[in-house]
Amino acid sequence: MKYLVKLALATMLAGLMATAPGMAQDWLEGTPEKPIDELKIGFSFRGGAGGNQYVIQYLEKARAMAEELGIELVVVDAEDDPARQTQQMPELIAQQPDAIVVWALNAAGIVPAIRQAHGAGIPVVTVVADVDESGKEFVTAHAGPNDTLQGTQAAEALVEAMGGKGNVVALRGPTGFAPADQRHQAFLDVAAKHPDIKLLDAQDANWSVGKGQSLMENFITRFGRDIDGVISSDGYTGTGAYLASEAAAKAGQIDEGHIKFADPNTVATAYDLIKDGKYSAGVLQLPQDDAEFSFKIAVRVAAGIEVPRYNYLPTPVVTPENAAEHPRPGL
Amino acid sequence: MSLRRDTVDTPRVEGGRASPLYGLIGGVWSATGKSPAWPLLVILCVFFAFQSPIFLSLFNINIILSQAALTGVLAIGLTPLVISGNVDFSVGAIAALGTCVAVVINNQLGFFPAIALTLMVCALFGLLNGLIVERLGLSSIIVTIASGTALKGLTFIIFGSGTIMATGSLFLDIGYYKVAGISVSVILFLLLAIVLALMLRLTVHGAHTFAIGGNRQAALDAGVNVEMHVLANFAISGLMAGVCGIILVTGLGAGAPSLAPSYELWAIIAVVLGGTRLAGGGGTIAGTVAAALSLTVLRNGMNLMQIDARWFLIVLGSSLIVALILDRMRSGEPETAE
Repeated sequence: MKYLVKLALATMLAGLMATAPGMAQDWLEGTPEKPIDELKIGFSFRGGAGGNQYVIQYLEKARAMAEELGIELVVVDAEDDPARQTQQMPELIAQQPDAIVVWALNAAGIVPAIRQAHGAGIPVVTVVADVDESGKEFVTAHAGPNDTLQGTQAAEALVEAMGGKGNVVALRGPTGFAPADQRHQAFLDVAAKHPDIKLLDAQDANWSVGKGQSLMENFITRFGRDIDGVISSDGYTGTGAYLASEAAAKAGQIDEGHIKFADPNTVATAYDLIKDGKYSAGVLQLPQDDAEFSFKIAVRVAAGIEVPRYNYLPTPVVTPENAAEHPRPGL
Repeated sequence: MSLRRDTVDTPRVEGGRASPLYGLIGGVWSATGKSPAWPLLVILCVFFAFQSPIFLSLFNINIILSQAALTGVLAIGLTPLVISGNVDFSVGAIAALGTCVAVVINNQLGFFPAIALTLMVCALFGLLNGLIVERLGLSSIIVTIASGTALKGLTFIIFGSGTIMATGSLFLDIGYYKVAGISVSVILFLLLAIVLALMLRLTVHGAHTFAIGGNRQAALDAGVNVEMHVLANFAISGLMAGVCGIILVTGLGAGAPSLAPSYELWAIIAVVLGGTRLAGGGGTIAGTVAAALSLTVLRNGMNLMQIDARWFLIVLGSSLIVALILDRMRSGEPETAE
């Protein structure tokens, strides 16, 4: 008798699992209000036509995920124009999606738009870029990288590589852009805890190899052998800084291999340097991981499943010791 | 490109111009108010209406009109200037400056002083462009690209690189307000278009604008105060950029130096696509409006069809080339009063 009951239960379970593919996704952590493949999600996308690799790869991954899950994804592209992004919100609302995902270009300017979506009864999920305080009440959840955490991870890795003391120059991202501000502030907070670490100067490098290189050249001219470490806003800038130091070492301006480098957002070139031991640490923030992580939150919200208000992407620290275990970034 | 005409504008005869096809195109063109933009607009609307059920809803029409109003205001402000033989590539930067001035003054002194000061500052900047062009005899393309770049940097320095939020809700309230389902910004855009069109048709300034653009030397010889009229058009261009900035603030409730990215490019494309002659001397506000609408319809329609935004850039660039070719084809036609 017991045997038969077990068989019956097993059969039922098997039957359930076979007939509810949408519910077999354990990342949902809840029961969706309707089948996943009947969901429609609107995406107010900040735009990447200008060739921003991260942004473009993010969108590609989001689209791939939507296709895989059978979800209808409606994208409106703001083409880097905050005014357009706000104006496009009614278009998304008109499509009556189950949730609207917003990657805001301007934290304050997007508030009227998300207020509209909220007013229309559509839950809003902000991704990557958070919105202004005044808009937070209209947002159901935020998902994306935690720039403060990543900045802290990179700063601590750099301080450790420097042995807890020395002079640092900072090549930061554009002042006023939240991720850049948060990463730099995280470094400042970490440096404040180590009295033997001194910040010589900080300059805006605008996420680019070329800018990182030329600014580092200036720093080397000004400070020479006094520089012990470089904290960059991202891997591109860090790569540029490394190239400048390599050239300076060959010219005898500084000692080869003395300067330690770290950044909170590693890229392919910086990853290679880390693997070779020339670069101390990076933090892995891949657009594909970011998109997948955040999209899953959005799907849960669209399906009516409760999620935490803030959801941060796990970002491992990449060092010469563990580099081989992590994938090489595709950008 | 020489924008100062010292020679009489004679019809050009080139190889192939005599073909009947060109004659046919020219005929259709004249029939539509000398602008290819109106038939283009109709064709685009019909096409997209079939592609998406949402396209012709009042809701979507208002979205299109609101989006068109932003660069449209810049484009109609540029039209008299281009007709008189100049151009202004700094209007995007002036609009961004306008958003910052509007918000900062609003937060310090209130809404109405903000409007007044924004319009004044922006018109003055336009005037400054004009003075450099006229007094120093320099090409307006180079001067305004340079002044626009410098102004962008100056705006960042003065106002910082962040966004400034407007206190009080008046800007946003105006942004939300609709008359019969149509936004205030659209009504403002259309009213301003009518005012500028009437200015071009009925005023002495308008007549002289065409004359100066058609043949600057002849206008000078006829005793026209060329400099004054050109300066006035530069001021108008700046003023419209200020209006654009104010409309931006009603939409966002905030101002920032980074707003209005590449708007001047859009505006100039709309002016040329609308049939206004780059060399000066001919053009219509109506054509500019139709062109601004066409570009916006195109983008909106492609969005509804979920076409990748990068294709739109290709279409935009191509439409500009087409507009330039049509402009070239027309440059041999005789002048008529408009």
